[in-house]
Amino acid sequence: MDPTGTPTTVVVAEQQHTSHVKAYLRVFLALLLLTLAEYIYAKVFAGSSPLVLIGGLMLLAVAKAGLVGLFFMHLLFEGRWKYLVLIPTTFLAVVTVAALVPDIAMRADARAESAPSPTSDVVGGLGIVE
Amino acid sequence: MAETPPFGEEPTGEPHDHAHLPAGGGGHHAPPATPGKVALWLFLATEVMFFTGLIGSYIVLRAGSPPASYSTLFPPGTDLAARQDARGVVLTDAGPDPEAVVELIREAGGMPAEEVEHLVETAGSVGSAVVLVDSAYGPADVDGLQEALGAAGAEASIEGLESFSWPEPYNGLVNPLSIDLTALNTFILICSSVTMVLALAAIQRGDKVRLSLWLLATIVIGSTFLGIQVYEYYQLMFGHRYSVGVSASGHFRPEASLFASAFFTMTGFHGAHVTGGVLALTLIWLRSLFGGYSRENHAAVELAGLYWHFVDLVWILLFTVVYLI
Repeated sequence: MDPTGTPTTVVVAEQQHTSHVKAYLRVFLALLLLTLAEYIYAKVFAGSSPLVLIGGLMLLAVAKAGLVGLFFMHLLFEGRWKYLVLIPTTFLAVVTVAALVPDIAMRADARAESAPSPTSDVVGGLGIVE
Repeated sequence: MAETPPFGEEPTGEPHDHAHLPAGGGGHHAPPATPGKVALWLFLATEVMFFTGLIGSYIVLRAGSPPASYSTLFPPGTDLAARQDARGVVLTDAGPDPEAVVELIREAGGMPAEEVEHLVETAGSVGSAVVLVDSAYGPADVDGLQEALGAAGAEASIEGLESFSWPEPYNGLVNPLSIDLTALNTFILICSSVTMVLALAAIQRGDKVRLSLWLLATIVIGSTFLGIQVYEYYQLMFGHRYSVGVSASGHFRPEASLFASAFFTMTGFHGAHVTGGVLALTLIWLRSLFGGYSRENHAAVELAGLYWHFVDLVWILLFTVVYLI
């Protein structure tokens, strides 16, 4: 607000405040709708292919996270300095995880084809292996 | 001469913060990059790395999980090679006489009556539970039990072995997580983000009363989120006795499976962050009661808000990755 605090500038500031609150409430409504959409999507596509289920749900989750980051955390309005923080962080985070993929996610596993242990037994008729 | 702000505070700068808030168009100035804000963003950058490490490890471990690590009839990690012909009795409704059902299952499987009672109760709340398994290593009269349960008015079926690389959502025989309860909790946490941003908007306007009220609302809603998470943990670890495909002991505890340990690690660390946020907000709220913040001096509210929204953002991703997928 203008340091003179004239009635006109007070009214402008009040109008701005109202529009900010309205914007926050719109984002809130969008978040609720997206959460509901996620919930329904997960139920409807529970038996679908991983691409449809995971792809669709991740898209909705990223949209929600984006709304929180851009509007509630004000990233949309910050200066260019935000990139100095966000870009290296994102790069390092992605590389750290991606480096594990060849060793763990893409390894060949022989456990499913291995023979059962001869000493295995089941107790209590409930499939509990000792 | 410029007035020195109190300890822990810093001037929010000119033009005033309102200039950067969503006004629906361009032409605005970016808010100043105050030292406090930059420091908090650097802290959040380390938090991004931390949670990426957790969520990324979860995704990688899940992708690398062997094809038959989880099954409906045996505990996680059981070698299923010679158990493909196994069959189990799945109870879906105990009917009008649960005590008789408990007795029948106890006689057939030899499990203690109290354990069977818990199992039948959980089957009622989760939807189904395996109550007897017949396999090459543990023969059991599943047909006889199914018939007896039917005669007692219960609903039970005989199912073959079904295996998964990772517990499927909505399948109570392998996955005990309640999506309905957690969707409600997600809704609650999103509400707390809105009350937080309204608290900041109030003090940016100079409205100290509404600042205190919205902060209090955020604290109450955040605490409700934590309360529901504690209730969920209690039910998972002690309250229910889940089907054998969830855990050998019947309780979903960190040692039950890789899924369980990953679940508790991720949601536990997030819960610790929410707890820290609630404590920080409580201190800020107490200070706000004594008029500690003003239109010109409210950096602590803004920084705590950034942290709180970040915690909300992380939960949005955790809910999707851990519960829904």
